[in-house]
Amino acid sequence: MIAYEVVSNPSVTSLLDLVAFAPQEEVGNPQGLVSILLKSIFVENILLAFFLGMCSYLAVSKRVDSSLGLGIAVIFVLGLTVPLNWVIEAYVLRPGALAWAGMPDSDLSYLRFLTYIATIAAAVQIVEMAVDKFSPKLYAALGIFLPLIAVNCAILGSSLFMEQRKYDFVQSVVFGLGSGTGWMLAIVSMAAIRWKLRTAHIPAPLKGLGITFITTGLVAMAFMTFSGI
Amino acid sequence: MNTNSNSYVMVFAVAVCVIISTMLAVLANSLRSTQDAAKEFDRQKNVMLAAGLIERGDLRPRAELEKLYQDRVTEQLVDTETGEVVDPAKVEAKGKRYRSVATTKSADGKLEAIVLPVSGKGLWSTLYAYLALEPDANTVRGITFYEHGETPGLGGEVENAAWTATWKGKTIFDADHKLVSITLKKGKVDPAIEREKKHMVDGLSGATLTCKGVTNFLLSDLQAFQTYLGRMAKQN
Amino acid sequence: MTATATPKTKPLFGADEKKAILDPLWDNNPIALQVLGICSALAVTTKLDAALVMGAGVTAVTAASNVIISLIRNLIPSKIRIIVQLVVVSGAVIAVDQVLRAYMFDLSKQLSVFIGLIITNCIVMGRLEAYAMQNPPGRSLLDGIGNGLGYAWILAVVGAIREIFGSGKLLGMQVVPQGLYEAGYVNNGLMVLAPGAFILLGVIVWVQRAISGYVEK
Repeated sequence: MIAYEVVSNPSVTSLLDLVAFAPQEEVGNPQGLVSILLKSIFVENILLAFFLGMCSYLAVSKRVDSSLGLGIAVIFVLGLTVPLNWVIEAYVLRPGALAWAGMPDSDLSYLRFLTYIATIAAAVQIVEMAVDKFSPKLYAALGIFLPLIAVNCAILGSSLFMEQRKYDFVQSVVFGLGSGTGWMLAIVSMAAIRWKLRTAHIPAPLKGLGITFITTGLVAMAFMTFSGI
Repeated sequence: MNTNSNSYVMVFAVAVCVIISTMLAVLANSLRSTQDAAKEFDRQKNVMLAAGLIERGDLRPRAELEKLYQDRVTEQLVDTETGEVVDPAKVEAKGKRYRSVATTKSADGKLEAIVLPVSGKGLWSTLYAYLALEPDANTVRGITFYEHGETPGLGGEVENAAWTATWKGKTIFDADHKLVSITLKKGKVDPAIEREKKHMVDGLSGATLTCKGVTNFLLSDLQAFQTYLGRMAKQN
Repeated sequence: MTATATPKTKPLFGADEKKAILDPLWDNNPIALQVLGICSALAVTTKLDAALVMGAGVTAVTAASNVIISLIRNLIPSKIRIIVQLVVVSGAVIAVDQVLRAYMFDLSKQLSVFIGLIITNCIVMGRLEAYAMQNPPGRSLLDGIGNGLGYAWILAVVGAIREIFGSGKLLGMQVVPQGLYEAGYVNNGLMVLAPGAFILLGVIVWVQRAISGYVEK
């Protein structure tokens, strides 16, 4: 919605300066939580529709059990970092966000990428240490995947999408968990297919990466049929 | 030098952060005015695109296009309750009552198009568009979606020029002067049915939710402009 | 295809330097063989112009961060080297993003969040860790450019094919003649969508490996 607000700046005289013809900051996103969850898991799967998290997807999707482990770790980290970055965006980065600290004119949004990735790296590190200390069993299962996750583009991508789509806090939690679940679904189903493919006769140069891409294309097509929901 | 002592690590980390953020701050601040100008120019270009003043992929230099905008486009503030154009300096109240529109004139000074900003939710993101109407305030002259975060290839196809071209000539009021807006049909428009031919455009395949969103916000935004449009129609 | 991008050998251009820039273009291509940086390879390649800008962006970031890291490689404490690399890379990416916003607003709108995702493009981090940490700045620069270009040309090929078959255009200009459409040809919508990209990249990798003779175990 384009709303008009009177600017109380006496130096602004021209109509162009005053008229809010350009879009204003969106206040809230009225989407339902269930719809965000379903969309992020199925319709617009972060891996199959936005291609995010491909590197670790290709490296790990050879076995079902390890891809399940990585998938759970991704859900966990996404559920944590997307809301965390939301808080940072809202109280530090956004233009005017530092008003609570007495700096209403601040605009640190150019530091967004740097801050997001630093948050993610730090969160992953802390989670790794915490899991190691409190649950060695869980660490044995997930631990090796955690360092891989800091540079997984699905994690950074979800935070950037969260910012672009102007979710509120609760929506960002749901979106983080949904994206993670969607990512896990994709990697686990792919691992199962690749396990089967080992015994198939495939032309030598197509083996490995080539056939994985083509199969992923077919899986992505299958996921696209959810778009009618 | 022991690069792994704690004090060295701390000093190094702080130094790296300070140096990099200082460099970025300098860069961001020195580019800010250019960025704002680029954004404003992009908006102006889209107003002119919707109104048909320029074609997509116009290769004329920027200064020339900016001059064209100044010469031919007028931006005004409209009181949506009375439909009157108001002076922004005299408006006190905040809120959605006052909205901006643009009008364009032809080279000989006649009113050529009325450009309304419309926006609302699609599947993922807020879509922003300019809808241009002919001087009769009824017939669509053009539309451009200039900012959105929909999926490329699906909802992102709102940008497709071949698709937006199909909007041209549709009408937003029916024969009884009732506002019906434009509906994005699920599937193809059947030209045999009068209502579809006049007030509907083809939906984008695979983007049901985006289309639903566009249909909804188009109707609600046009409703807001209804009084103004009625006044314009009478004038011309 | 690779030969066209080969720079002429100069006297001060030793074997190491040549290898640094040429290897990643074909024999050790980051996408086809090292399987790095796939995310953005697919997401931004619906059109050729976006693919070219993305390729240029990645080349600039890889080259710049390679040089910076290589310059300070002996100062970086090994404990925090990954974080330092991340910070340098994000700095370079932010710079690219800011410049695009100021001078190529249309494209920066089109690439949206994917510019930011160069940070997590494994090619960048991979080269820092594998090359720049051990080699002098000059060679690191060449290695960065080589890897960036090796990535960029695949992006450009995918982008060109997807644009031609998906929308009948190249760089926004109509290339599929109108006559073909009248004869019943239609644009292949699948090419613009995600599955088309996956399948196309699969085929490109297949062709590249069939020629270069690389076989995965």
